[in-house]
Amino acid sequence: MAEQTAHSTCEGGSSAAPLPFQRLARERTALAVEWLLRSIRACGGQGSAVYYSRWIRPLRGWYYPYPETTGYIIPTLYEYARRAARPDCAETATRQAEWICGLQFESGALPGSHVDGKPKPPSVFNTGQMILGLCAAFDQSGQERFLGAARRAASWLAREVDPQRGLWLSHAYVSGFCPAYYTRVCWPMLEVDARHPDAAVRDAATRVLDTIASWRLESGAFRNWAFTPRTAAYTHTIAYTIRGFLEAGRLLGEQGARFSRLAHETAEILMRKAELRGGLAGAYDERLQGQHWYTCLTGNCQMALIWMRLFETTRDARFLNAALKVIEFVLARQRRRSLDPNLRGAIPGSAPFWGRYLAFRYPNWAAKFFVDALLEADALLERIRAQGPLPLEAPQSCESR
Amino acid sequence: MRIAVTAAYAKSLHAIGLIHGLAAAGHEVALALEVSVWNTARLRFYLRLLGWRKLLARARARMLGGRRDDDATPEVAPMREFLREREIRSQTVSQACRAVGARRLRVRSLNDAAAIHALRAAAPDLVVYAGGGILRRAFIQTPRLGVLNAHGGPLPAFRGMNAAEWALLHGTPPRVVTIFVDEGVDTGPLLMERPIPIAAGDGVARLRGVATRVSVEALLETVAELGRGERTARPQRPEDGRQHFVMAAPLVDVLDAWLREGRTPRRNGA
Repeated sequence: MAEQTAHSTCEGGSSAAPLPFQRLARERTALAVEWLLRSIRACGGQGSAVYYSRWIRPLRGWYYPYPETTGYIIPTLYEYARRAARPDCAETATRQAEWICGLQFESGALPGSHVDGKPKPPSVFNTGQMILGLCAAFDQSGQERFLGAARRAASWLAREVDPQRGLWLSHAYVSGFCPAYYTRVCWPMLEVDARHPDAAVRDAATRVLDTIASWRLESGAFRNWAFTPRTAAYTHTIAYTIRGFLEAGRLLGEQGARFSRLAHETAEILMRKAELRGGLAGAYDERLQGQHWYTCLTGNCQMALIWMRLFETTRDARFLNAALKVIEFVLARQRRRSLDPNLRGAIPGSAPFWGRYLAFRYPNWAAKFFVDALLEADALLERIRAQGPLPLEAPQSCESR
Repeated sequence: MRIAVTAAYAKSLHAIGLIHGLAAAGHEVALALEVSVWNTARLRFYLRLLGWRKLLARARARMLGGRRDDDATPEVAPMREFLREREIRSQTVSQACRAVGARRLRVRSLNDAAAIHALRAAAPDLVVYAGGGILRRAFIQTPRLGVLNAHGGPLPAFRGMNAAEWALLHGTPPRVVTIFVDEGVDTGPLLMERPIPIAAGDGVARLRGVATRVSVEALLETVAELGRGERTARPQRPEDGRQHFVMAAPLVDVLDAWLREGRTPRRNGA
C-alpha cells in the first residue's frame, strides 16, 4: 500500500512533508485507481465496466465494458503510473488502447454504447473520447499504430461535419441532436492535429466550435448543453462543454483565444455560484438556475479540473479555492469501507446516492475524473507551497454579470 | 457622536470592545443590535458552508465542549488581551450595554422591520458594524453619516471573506481598512488603513485574532477622527478589485506552512 500511495514530487516541487489534504488525496487516489483497475479486470482486461451497481445488476454488479470512457481512462492511468511509480497501470492502459484499436470500423469511426456482443453503430462523441486514449497511448509508447488509429478516427469525424451548418447531424446520442458538449469532440480532433497536422481536421473542428460558440446565452450558459434538447444540463455535460472550449483554445493558440475566453467566462460564473451556494447544483438550466437537491459528483470533479486549469493560466487563486472545496466534497463521498470489496474506492454518480444523475450507480468516469482532480490538486499544492506567495494579477473577471 | 453598534452574537468580543471603547471615548452608545444565533438564514448559510455533517459535529462540540471563547485560542487571545488591557469585564453584549447605559435589542436579522424601527428610533449619527450579516439599503441609509465597517484586508484588491489570508496568499502585507458600507461587497468609500502585525511563529488562527483586534482599534480611531471632522472618505471603483470567498482548508494549510517558514510578508508585532 505504501508503494501505491507514494507520489513522486512534481517539477519545481519541494521535499517538505505533504499537507494533510495531500496525504488524504494520495491515499484516496490509490483507492480510486484500484477500483478502476477492478472495473477493467471485471471485463477480462478488455475495457472498463460502465458502472458498478448491485441495485441495477444484483448478481454481478459490474455492467459491460464501455469503450468511450475506457478511452479517456487511459491518460488517467498513464498519469497515475508516472506519479505513483506504478508501471502496471501504464501496461493496463496500453492494453486498453489496443482493445480500442480492435473496435475501429473501416471508416475510422469508433462504436457507441457498451460492448455486449451486439453490433453497435459508430458514435461521434464516443469516437472523440477514444481518440484521447489513443493519443495518450501514442505519447506514452511512441507506437505509430495508436496515432494512425487516432488520425483515421479524426478524419472520419471531420468528414461527418455538415458543411452547411458546421455540426454533426448523425451518429448522435439523441438522433438529430447535436449538443454543445460536442466541443469535447473538437478537442480530441485538435489533439490529433497537434501530433500530425491535418488542415481538414483542424478546420472541421474549428467550424464546429464556432457554431457552438454562437449558442452562448446572456446568462453564460450554452443552448443544447444537456444530453437531450430543452432540459437542464448536468454539470457533467456542462463541464464537457467548457473543457472542450478550454482545451481547443489552448491547442489553437492565438486563433483559439475566443474559445478560451468563453470557457473562462462560463467557468467563472459557475465558480461564483458554487461559492455563494456552498456547492454546485446537480444540473443548471439555460438561465443557470440550479437543481440543488442533488449534485453530480462527476461534474464536481470535472469543474474542479477546469477551475484548476484556469488558476494555472490566470493565477487567480479563487479558481483553485473553489476546486479544492468541491474536491473535498467528493472526497467525503467516496466509498471506502464496505463488505463488498467492489465498492471500495468507488464514486457514486450523485450525492445523495438517489440523485438524478446515474442514481444508485458508481460509474467508471466518476472515478476517472476524481483521480484526475486529485492528481492535479496535489501537484498544484505542491508547487504553490514550494514557490511561495502567488503574484497578484490585475482583475480580469466577469463579476459584473 | 450618537452611535449604534451591531453584534453577530451574544458573546462577540469584537462588539463588547467597541461598545466600551466608544463610550470611553465620550460617544453616546444609544443602541446595540444583537443578531440571534438561532435564525434560519444563518442556519442555511452554515449548512451550505459546512454541510450538515460538519455543522452537526460543530454544534455537538460546542454544546459538549464548554466555552468557545477560550483565552488560549489563538483566534480569540488578541481580543481578550485588548479587553484586559482596558479592564473591560463584560462577558456579553448585554452586560456591555448595561455598563454603558445603552439599549440592547436582539433581532433575527439586521434587516428585520424590528431592527430598522429600533435604529430609526435611536437616530444615530453612525452605526459601527461588528458583524451580523449582509445589510440592505433600508439599514444602510438610516444613520446620518452611514455604517462604518472594518475590512480585514487591503482594498480594493481583496474584497469579501478571509481578506487577510487572501492578501498573504498573494504576498501582500495584510491591512485592516475602515470603510463606509454600501450595497456592494466591500465596495464602499475608504477611510483608514492599519497594518496587521505578524510575529514570527504566528499561524493563520493568530493572524485572524490579531486582525480582529486591529479592526476594533481602527474603528475606534476612525470614529474619533470622523467626530473631529478630520477624516474624509475616498471612493473606490468596483472594477478595481475581486470578491474573495471563504478560503479552502488546504490553502489555509499552505498559508500556515508559509507563515511557519517565514515566507510571507511580515511586520513584527508591536
